[in-house]
Amino acid sequence: MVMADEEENGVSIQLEFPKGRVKKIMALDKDVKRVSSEALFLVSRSTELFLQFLAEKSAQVAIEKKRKTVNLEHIRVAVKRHQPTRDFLLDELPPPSQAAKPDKPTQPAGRPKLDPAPRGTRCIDQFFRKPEPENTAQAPGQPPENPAQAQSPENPDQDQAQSPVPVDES
Amino acid sequence: MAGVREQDQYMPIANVIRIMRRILPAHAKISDDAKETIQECVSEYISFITAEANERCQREQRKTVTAEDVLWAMEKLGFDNYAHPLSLYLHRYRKTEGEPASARRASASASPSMQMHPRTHPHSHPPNYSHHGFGMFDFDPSSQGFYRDDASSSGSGGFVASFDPYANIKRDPL
Repeated sequence: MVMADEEENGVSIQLEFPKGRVKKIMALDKDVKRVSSEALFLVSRSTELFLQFLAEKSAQVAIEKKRKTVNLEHIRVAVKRHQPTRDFLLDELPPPSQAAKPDKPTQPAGRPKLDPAPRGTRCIDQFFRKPEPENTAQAPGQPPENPAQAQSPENPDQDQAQSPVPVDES
Repeated sequence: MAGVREQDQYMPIANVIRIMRRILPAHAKISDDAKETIQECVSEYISFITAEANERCQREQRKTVTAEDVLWAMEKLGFDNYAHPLSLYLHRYRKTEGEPASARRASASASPSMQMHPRTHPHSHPPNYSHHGFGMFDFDPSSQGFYRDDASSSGSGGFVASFDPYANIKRDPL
């Protein structure tokens, strides 16, 4: 595909990337002293092949995930699948938390509501009990019926529980 | 790095996207963060190959990184699938280099003040340079599983039979 774009009879084989820019990037390495024109040409062409490879694999990942837009996560997956590319490139990619993930992780399970009954609450049936056995029944009765107390309205219980006291005194 | 603009550390985004569009499906889109990341990946690849090629160049006590150093680096780093198509490109490139001096003048003026001067030291290669055995020139189609077949087969069938990697190594000095 790429070779079809080249002018075989032209002055030089057409490159997609500007040579000057490739030279500058190569020169970032201080140890590099001189680069022959053939080496520069090969690095430019090789970079084109690498870019095509990366685009092709990223597109495949996007298609597998039913997406039309290639995003950062697709590039990451494509890099992981090719060992040589993975070796030098995976650490250079942005961390996964910044990537736009189409598949969101499942939310953590909802916490069960185990709120204990607040202090001072009494059973709803206390109102119907006799005054005398009420004292002895409170202690063993409260623990097993704690879950039931959570569902009952608390304020009416307190109001009703106070009314029997004056009757006992009189 | 002093004096190096951040813009110069990456390939131009327009070139990158143009090449990607040729590979991607017609309806595909590229997110902005993906474009930037691809730009960085490409620069990282160039630095990676360059460092490895330069390491071999220095180990052999040469000062100029050559095409063979680049091919060797790609083999060593696992990009051997690129070696065969690049050998074809190199062969064609060397043929065009043999054209009249106007072509050389045009290519020389492209970067007159750059630090790298490819042809200023034509005699820097050791005398036995051309006798090095380069395994990467061996044709191995089974190792190009991921590379598109139409790229290597379109219009280049005649090269394979007559390709001689050492025929054009010796170049005329300017």
